[in-house]
Amino acid sequence: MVTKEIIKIENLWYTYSNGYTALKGINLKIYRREFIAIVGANGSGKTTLIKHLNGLLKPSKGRVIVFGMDTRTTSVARLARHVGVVFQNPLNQFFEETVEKEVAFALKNFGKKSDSNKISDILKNLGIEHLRYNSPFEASLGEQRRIALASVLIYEPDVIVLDEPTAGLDYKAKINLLKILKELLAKDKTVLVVSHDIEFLAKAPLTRIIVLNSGNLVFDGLPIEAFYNIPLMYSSKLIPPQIPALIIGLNLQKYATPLNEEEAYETFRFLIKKVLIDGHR
Amino acid sequence: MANEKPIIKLENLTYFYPNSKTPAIENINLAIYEREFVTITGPSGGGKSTLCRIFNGIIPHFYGGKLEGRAIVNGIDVKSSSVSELSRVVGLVFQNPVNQIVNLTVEEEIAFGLENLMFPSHVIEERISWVLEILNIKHLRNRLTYTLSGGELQKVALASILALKPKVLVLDEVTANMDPYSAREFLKLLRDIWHEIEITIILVEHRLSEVLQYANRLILLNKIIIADGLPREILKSDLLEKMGIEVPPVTLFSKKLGVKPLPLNVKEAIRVFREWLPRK
Amino acid sequence: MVIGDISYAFLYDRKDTYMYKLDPRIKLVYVGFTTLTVFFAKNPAVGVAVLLIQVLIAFSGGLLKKVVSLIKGLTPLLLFIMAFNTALVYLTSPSIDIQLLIYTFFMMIVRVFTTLIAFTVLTSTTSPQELMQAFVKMKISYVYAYPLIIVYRFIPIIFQEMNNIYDAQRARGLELERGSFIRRFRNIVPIIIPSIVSALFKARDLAEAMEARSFGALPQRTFFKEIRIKKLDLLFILTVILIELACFPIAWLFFS
Repeated sequence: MVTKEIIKIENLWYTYSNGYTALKGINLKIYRREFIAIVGANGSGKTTLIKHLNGLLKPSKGRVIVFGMDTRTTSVARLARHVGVVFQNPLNQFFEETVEKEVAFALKNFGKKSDSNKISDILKNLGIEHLRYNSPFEASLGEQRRIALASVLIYEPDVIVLDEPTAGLDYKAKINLLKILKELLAKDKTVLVVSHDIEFLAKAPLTRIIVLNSGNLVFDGLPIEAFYNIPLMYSSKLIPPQIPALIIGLNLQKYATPLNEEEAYETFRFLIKKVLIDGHR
Repeated sequence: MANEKPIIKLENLTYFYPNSKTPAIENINLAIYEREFVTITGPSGGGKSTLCRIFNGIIPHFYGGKLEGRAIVNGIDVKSSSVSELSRVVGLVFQNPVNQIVNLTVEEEIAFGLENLMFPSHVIEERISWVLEILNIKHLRNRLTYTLSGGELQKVALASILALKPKVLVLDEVTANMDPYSAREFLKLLRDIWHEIEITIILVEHRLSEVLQYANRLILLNKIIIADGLPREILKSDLLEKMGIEVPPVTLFSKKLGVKPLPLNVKEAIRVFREWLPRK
Repeated sequence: MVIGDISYAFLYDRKDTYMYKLDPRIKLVYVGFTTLTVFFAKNPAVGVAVLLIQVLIAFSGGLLKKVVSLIKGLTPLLLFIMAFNTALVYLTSPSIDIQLLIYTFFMMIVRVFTTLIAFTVLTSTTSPQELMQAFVKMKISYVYAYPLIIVYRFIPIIFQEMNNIYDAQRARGLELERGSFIRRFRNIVPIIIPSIVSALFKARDLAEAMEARSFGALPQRTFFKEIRIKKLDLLFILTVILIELACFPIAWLFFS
């Protein structure tokens, strides 16, 4: 059975009005239920790329097909129903007096009825039910990010894109976010995360990693292949996760390739035996 | 490196923001000596930014509120001094560089603080040249500030503070908006500056992976001081994990395996493991 | 587009002609004097002469492109206003002398363009820093004059923020291009409020950062690149004053 892609990006080029070319011939297919990370240094084109997914930007050359719709001829509002983008700064969107109204905003725009139960469910899932009647401006950054996420989840897009969702969050909030994303995947959503928080990504159950470097797509594959490819990491101005860097530094990558400290601990006892059997390093 | 008299001394310091019944920080006792490189970390809302602003007097003079206890900076009492007087000793660099930069060109921005303090032109010229040199941004001198990247902006913000030649440099989560590569470069730059000029550095961060190798002193702050000492010693305990602060993965991993001495970054981990593995 | 042409005309870009080196105070006097001259002129010949002098001055400073841009942007608007104004006057007092009407219309255009060209010369060759210094030297406290620079510096930033806000709201289905007029008008609220919030946060952060560098601590400040009135400035303003004043007797002699 052949799975058809839900998003197809064909030879996408994008140049800003000031002449700066941010994307140079990107080819990419995204399938259902994927968990994809888009990484790259600041200025590599990550944010430009995701803005094409809901039509905020239209291609200079090439095309982007989202659920069969060509973004060049489809309105942002129509595309946004399928692809919900959560941007980095929640304060760039808050304007209502209560969290409840803020979350329901998208429903109003799409002409759907405001469902009090649906709102409750979403707020509960994200652990912000207690903020329902508060002002979104009074919440902490972690809570604000979740309110912004709720305001996108409310209209149930198939694809959820998050732009730097962990920036400024403390460790607890990051682990919490990971839990929320895993739950979304379990509900058959497709999740795209733009991030340079490599340790966060090293803990995430990603299906694929996309690496951008100065507008070029330089890697599209499994996280293990990316994180253990030190030249790729450094040439894209990325710092590899610590555990792979350690394993490579100890030249043990032929035995095991953990990505984070939990995986490393589990595989290490196996590793030690292997090392003893194979003799001294 | 530690002199007899601390350059910053906080005694039983407690602060309430205006209209707040709970203190932002409580009973802080802290002494920081000249030429130290201190890292302050802690959970969000734990008072790190509050403390930064007390060092240069923005708290209480700009924010108001109630400051109890004593805060002495370079012999000056914070409560009875002014932000201007304290800013000549303590330079504070904030998290978001865009909102700190006032002027259209880099040169004007670096000159800004000196002009406000009525420094004559020729001294300003010397300071500008000096600071552009040590931060390696001579090529940015005539650039318009709104055309700079995030990393460049942060260097310009730092430059405009360093030009005042403060004795203490306080940086409040300055790498929060940087990508890890730029953050690493920036921290290396700070370390180099610290070696070159006689300055005390107080770095507030909660992304510790890059920072731990530079500081010789780690302070854990969560409204009160939870710990204050050598980074390696504090990491041996599980205080950071309990407070929800990100511990470098190699350190966590090494702790689980009981590897000693505890590595703080990948380089150290490789060295330590190379010795430890054969023994196992 | 009209806004593009006008903003290009008034925008400051650094270049290398003598006009950029003139003291801003001198340029302010130039604009003021020119405005007075052209408003006091009764003879249309004087008006035209003064107008042409401005074009010449702009040309000498390498600003012809800017003047053309200004004229392109402003002409349709101004012509419309003047025509409307004139028609109104004619309709309310039909017995008015046609010649007087035409004369008034003509002089209005001449005066407005003269003033605007002089103003363009001023704003496009004077940096906000120089202008701020000019005000300070005219005894305005630097604490009040400095916001001139801050506004200029933050304009591109604010535009960028508003774009980000617009994107974030569109991503939730906000439409400003379709729908009833009332709906579209109400849809401005989700753009305005975050913009104001963003501006307020910037203002607070900026105030802290300025405070931390002793802004306002002392009653006066020094300037790294201080403006000074030089021989070139005096030469310029004297030349301008003489040439403009000369228009009056010359016109009286030849064009009465």
